[in-house]
Amino acid sequence: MYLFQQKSFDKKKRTLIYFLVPITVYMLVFFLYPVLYNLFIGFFDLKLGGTAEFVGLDNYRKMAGDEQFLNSLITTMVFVFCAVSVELIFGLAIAGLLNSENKKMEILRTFILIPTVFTPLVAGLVWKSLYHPDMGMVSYYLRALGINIGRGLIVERHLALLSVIIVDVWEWTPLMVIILLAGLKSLPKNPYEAAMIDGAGAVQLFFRITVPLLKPTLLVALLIRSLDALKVFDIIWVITGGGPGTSTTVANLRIYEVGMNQLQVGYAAALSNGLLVVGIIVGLIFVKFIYSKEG
Amino acid sequence: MNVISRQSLLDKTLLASRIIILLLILAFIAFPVIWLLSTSLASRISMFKIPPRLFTGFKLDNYSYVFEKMEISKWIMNSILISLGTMILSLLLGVPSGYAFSRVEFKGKKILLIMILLTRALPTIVIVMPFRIIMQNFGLLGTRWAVILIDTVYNAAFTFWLMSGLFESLPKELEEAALIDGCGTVRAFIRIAVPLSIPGIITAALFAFILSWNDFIFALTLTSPDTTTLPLGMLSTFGILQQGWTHMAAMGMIAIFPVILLSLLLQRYYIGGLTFGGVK
Amino acid sequence: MNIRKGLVLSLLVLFAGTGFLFASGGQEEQAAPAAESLPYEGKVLHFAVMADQYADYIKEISSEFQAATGAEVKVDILGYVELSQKITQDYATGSADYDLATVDIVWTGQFEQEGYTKDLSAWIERDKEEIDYDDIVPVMWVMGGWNGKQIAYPMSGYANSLIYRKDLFEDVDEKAAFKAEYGYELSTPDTLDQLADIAAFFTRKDESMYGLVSNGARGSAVAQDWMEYMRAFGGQIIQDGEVTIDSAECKAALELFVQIFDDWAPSGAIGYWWDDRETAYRTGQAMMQQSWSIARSGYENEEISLVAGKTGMAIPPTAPGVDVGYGVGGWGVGINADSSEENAEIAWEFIKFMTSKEVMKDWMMNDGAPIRYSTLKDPDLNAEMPWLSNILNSFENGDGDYRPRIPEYNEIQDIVGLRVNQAITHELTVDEALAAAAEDIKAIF
Repeated sequence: MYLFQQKSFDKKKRTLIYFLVPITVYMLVFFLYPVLYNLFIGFFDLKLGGTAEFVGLDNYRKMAGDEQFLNSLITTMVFVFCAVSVELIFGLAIAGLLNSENKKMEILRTFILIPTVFTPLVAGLVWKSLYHPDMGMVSYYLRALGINIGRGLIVERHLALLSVIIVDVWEWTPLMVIILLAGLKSLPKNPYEAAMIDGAGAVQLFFRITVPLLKPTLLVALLIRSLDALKVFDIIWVITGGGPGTSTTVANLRIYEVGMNQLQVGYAAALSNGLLVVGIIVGLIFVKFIYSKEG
Repeated sequence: MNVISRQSLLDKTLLASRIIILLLILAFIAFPVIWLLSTSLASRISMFKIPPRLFTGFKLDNYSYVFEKMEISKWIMNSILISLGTMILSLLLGVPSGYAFSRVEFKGKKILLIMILLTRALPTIVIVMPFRIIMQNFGLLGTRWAVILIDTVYNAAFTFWLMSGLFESLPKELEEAALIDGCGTVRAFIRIAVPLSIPGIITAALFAFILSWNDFIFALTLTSPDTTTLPLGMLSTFGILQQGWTHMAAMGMIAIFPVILLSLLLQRYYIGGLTFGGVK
Repeated sequence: MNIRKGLVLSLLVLFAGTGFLFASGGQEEQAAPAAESLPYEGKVLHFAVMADQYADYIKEISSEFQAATGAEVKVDILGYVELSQKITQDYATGSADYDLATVDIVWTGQFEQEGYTKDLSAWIERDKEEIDYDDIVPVMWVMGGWNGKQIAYPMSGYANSLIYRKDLFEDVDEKAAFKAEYGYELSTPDTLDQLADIAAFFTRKDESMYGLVSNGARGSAVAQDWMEYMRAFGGQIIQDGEVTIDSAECKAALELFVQIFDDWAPSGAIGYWWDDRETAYRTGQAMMQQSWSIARSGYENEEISLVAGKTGMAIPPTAPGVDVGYGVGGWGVGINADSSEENAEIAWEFIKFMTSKEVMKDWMMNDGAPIRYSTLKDPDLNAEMPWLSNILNSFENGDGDYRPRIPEYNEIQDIVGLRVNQAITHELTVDEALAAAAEDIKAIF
């Protein structure tokens, strides 16, 4: 009997392993292979449609001195940091407001979700029209309110990045809200009651109890949003095209220009590998935080 | 006035003010949608009058224009086919593997998980250029399959992750009972595990559909004229000499309508998917 | 059991969906009506078309062509940036998605060098009479050619023009006020100094009136508009193999250009693309602009224009002593070098059909742009569009080479587009911007 069980267990295990084969093969072919291919062509001077010439690390040396690319990395970092932290603060505030058993809140929550399903390209086109420096509704009414937006939100160098950050915040704060709201709802009630008996105020409650308890959720939300914000392309491509000057040229956009406009695929591959390293570092930092707190 | 009613009055005011603040936030959130609707119904010239106004007209001209003069039906069909294809393929790849992953220990389990989670960290630009070259070598460049295959990389990973988490939380006893009753592993999976995880499958399907529907950069680099998707087609409304805001808006409404509708109808599943990562 | 019902239903939908997916995987089926005598029955070609004003009518031309020959030419309308990316990627990878594409004349050098589009010379020689070679204005032939090859066939000729508000220029009170202020009569400017005076005169920001507008958006938009002024000052980007973009003429041109945005244009113009600039004029905000003649008929279209009947068109002014031809540009049409022999043959038939005298005339009535003497001199068209004689004059004295059509044009345009944009936003001074541009351009060669 024992032997039989063992055998059937092995058989079951083998069948289950077969279940894993398709996705593993798929990921090897369509995910790992392109990534490795990218690593490979990063060592070549290759123009699309032309012949490849092995150049070793030349592309990476060129990258280290490529001011436009390094600047685009900085722009990316600024974009990710500002967008995600604003989304976190707003997300937490709105989640706090929504955290109630009231039926009305549920309805409100439903509608708050809309931007997250909004096709990003459409969002970009809509905001571009709203931001139009002379005829856009946002520009017009901001000016009417006496706010100095210079020649226009998306054409002034110091305002353009802010303008696209606002679009990202509009689109993705709701995601933060939903994740954090779920986190808030799962918090235990006891610590609050105890602290209230001790006479703690709302602010103290928030920082002493809510934040520490919510920390795992906060970190995961930050991780998801940071990695997604690192991928930003559609909205910037549509709204500013990277301008004015290079003020909104994020790394994705620069790499796209090099690879798809100038067709320098070898160098573009090297640049995207540089970006990938940045992405992995960001991911690892968060993962380390998440595990160190849990473990 | 006794203490209790004063307390409840305070609660009510507090709730009311919270709702008012939230309504203001909602107005900001909804504004672009309202603008899009209003613009799609306006006449072209009214868009350029100062001061800009909402709802200057209610005509369906822009919708009839995009259907008559532009190939929007073809773009919609391509978007639907690509989204459905991605959805099906992602489920086929992600659901059984997610199940197996939650039920068995094996060497390399961690590597597989890391590889799959890495897809989320991978900037699209890294994969899209080599993918284009690879698709060309496969003779698939310019077909719908090219877009489906790359969309599925991201969506199958999400499905896998979601489903393995869900199956993990399902009790194993039922399947074990079925196994003892003589069911094979495959049948136990289909008969017992899948029906129990329908909500998760709906969530995964919904996400695959939405992500694929909203994709732009992959369609930009991988499609040909016959396989252009809706977002890509919209760009042609911005010509060199004519500002096509109203036509763009009509197409924009058509583009966002299905995903907004789906997310509202299947709200429970949609929220479930969004919160999955955060709570787990 | 709702869930089960729903599941069955959704599975059915899924299967229907996949079935469809497989059925219509790559190519689309042709359901053409059976007609015997048509030579190209059932053939399908793809044509990538710039989303310019002329684009819509190409679909009409295509259906006429199908009725006549049986071949279907599918028209795919794309914005400028997408068009350029899509077709260069297509050409570079040899995927032959598009048999035909509209070719901006500034791309000819690159297309010839890379062998992207077919040399049409032999066909043109063969069919010289059919196409009435000499009826097409010579400058049009020049612009589609490079290194002795005709890599694009003339399709739409544009004359760079000064577009101005005729009603204001002829207004008695305005004329008197202008004379009192500047000491000479208000008329279309002959010199750039006069242009500046008039621009300043008509800039009344409190009334939302702006004297002069140009494209400012980073990229092709600002690069191409600045080159008009560069030409007017007699500057060149490359002269006799030397990079001369930091010359005194180019500096003067950039100084004036910066002033347009600082003083005379609507404040948002530093972010304008072509459509924004045209909209600023058509909505009555801008009083003057340099634009392509293709936009001319749009000013009379009351669906999109608030200035119908109020527009004049003139040759743009130049700096004193500068003797340059008038700016000419536009679009040709090229055949993909990777297209099959048969498709290329059909594409050539289509080109001849599309640019024939009769079709050209109809096209002109539907936002087309002229390339033929017979179109430009046609009495019916002239009655409808009195400005055609201006365009003819420009074409006969036209210079299509002030924008360097060399193989490196795209890279140069990227550089100029960035540096000039940095100058008008005052990120860089005029000198810094041009020095940086010169350095960047030298690095290409």
